[in-house]
Amino acid sequence: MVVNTGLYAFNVTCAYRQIIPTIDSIYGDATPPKTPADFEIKVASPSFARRFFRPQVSFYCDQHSPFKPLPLAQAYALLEWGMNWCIATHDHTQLLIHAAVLVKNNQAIIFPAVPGSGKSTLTAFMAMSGWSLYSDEMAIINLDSGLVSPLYRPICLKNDSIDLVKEWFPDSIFTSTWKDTHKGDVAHLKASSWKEYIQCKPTEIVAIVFPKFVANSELKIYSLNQLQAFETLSKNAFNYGVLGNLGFNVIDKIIKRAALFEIEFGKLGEVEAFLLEDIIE
Amino acid sequence: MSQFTNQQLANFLTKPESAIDLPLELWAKLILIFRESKLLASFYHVSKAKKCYELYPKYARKHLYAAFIHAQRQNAQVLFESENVRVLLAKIDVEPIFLKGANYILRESENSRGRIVSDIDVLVKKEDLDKVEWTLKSALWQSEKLSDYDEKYYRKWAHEIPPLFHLLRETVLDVHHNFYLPVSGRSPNVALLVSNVETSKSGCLVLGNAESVLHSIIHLFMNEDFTNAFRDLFDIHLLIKQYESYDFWKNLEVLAEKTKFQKELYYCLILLMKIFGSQEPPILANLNLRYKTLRRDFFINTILFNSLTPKHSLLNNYLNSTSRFLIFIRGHWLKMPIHILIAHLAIKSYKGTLEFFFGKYFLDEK
Amino acid sequence: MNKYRLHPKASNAVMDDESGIALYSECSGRSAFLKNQHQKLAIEMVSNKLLDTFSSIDMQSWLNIDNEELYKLENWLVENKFIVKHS
Repeated sequence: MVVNTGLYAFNVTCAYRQIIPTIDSIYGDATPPKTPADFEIKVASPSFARRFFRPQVSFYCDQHSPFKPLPLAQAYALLEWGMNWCIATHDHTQLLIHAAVLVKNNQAIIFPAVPGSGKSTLTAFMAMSGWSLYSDEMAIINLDSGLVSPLYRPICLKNDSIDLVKEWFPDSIFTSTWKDTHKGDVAHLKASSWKEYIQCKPTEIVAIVFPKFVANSELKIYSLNQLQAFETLSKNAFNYGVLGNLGFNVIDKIIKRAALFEIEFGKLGEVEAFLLEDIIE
Repeated sequence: MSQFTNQQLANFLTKPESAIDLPLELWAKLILIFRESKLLASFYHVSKAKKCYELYPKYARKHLYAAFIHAQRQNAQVLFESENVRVLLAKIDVEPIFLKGANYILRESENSRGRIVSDIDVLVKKEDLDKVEWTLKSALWQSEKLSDYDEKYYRKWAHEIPPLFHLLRETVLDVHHNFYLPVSGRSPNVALLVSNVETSKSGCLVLGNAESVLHSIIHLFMNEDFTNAFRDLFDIHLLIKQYESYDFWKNLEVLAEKTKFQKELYYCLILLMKIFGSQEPPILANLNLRYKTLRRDFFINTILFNSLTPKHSLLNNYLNSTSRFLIFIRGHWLKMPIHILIAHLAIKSYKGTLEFFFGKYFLDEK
Repeated sequence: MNKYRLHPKASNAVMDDESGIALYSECSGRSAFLKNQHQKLAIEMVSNKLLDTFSSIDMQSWLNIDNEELYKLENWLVENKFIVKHS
């Protein structure tokens, strides 16, 4: 079956029929791509014995499996991570930063992913509160224009934030929760529809915000200098090392155009209020 | 059923204009095959040179361009690493000669454009080997962790020390003291291949033209692993196209004779004509007289020809997987006397069985 | 005293908030982020002199580092092809 993420199409072969309904629930409303798939991917048993003995699944990109196999129950999560891996290791025509991207009034804010940042919870909250979701994992930035493009993917939520988001938005569409993955418990949230997605266009980055979640904290805002932002972005980019000068020049361009902040937050509503008040025009 | 024949694949590389009208579904397959055989960035360069890249569909261009960016960065990295190794070894008065991928990139030959290089190969004198290893190890180059068996294999029988990798940059460096395994009894006299070394722009030593080609031929046809064989044959095709002249052919012929690799040279020339449509080389007539037999032609046209097919599920069939298996056995056969070979294959295939049964990660050490 | 200029294959970006300079070397594939420790004056010096030649002393004053750090930094920048000695 073909999974269309907008910018990239994946031809998915599943040895396990049970994950197909999940794939459908997340990507089923997308129209089929006009061109052939960009990636041939597969989730299948790594060996004959592993079909029966403590069943495991491996992710394959064309002929190779880049990661260690996972227990069968985590097959869907593995598929999502595998798709990220395919994009991050192959698309060197754009700068790929490990970050969430949200857009309001045609202005994009990127939230680079630092461990413990609470980025995905923040992303889910904002995406469900009227912001356009461009990505939960990857800011895809054009090397010439510096504009960020949208990707049609779900949000990957972990541990406690799964129940929190379900509580805030009871109507939201979730996959099952995959227990005890290397990232803890994981579930995927479908936070936008294909109809919404196709309205999203490449957009100017107006701010780069490095979030940090601190329980019960008041919102604290620190401004970040350009050099710090440059260094942190380059370290958070999947393919900065491959792009060379092209990556260097585009980071230089975006940090000089965008407002740069580091924030400490305990309440998501305060973050959104700050962004709407001080950044989005 | 294979999607493309060897000749069709070669044709896209030598006449990239033939891909202009390719339907998108076939483009998707061609891209997978060329990516797997490490030829996607080379394909970008040949299509650019023949001015047909711009005529390719957008779908194809984005994949080719991404591969080009990746190869370009790698190319710069190889220049940087070779320069570092040269400067480091100069301190102990050793001048390494760069081989294979690094050789092509340093000499800026046509085939270096888009060439993917997985490690840097250097040749040093056997008597310098200990001090070279010691010097590299004191400069952040470390040995990979090997099983005891593999460690012994390198030390006892191989023509190289176990691969080194740079602790910070993760580049892999292979230090050789010969062009082929001494235990095989077929390793060439090193002096014959290094008598014509050239100096690259950055001051690194590389083999001469004919020597570079002969080494590529030895490496390709004496190997048991044909994973990159199609790419390696394309390397040789481009090198010959760029360097051929009366003197070049003469040198290559003499060199092959002195090093006793004429038969491999013969294999190579036949396959270049058959797959890449090369013109009949002036030295072929002589080689024909000595080597052309029905049995050998069968070996070249069937076993070698089918083993050269890139290893990809879109191309796999009974013929090329059987051929590759025969080549695997032959490669080991050539490398080692029979009693060593049997022990070596027994260990390799025991590991292979475990991997087949449990998946390859079973053997990974934590 | 050593004189330097930027390596011909190094890119530089001077931060317009005067936080420092980012460098990238196409040869080594590495980036360097040099923090400006002074005020406006230093950045003006950097942007003018960086494109021409500069000395160890210039670097020391821009970055506000001691002799030992300077020595290490010079070597690192040369080794990784950010700067070359100018004779």
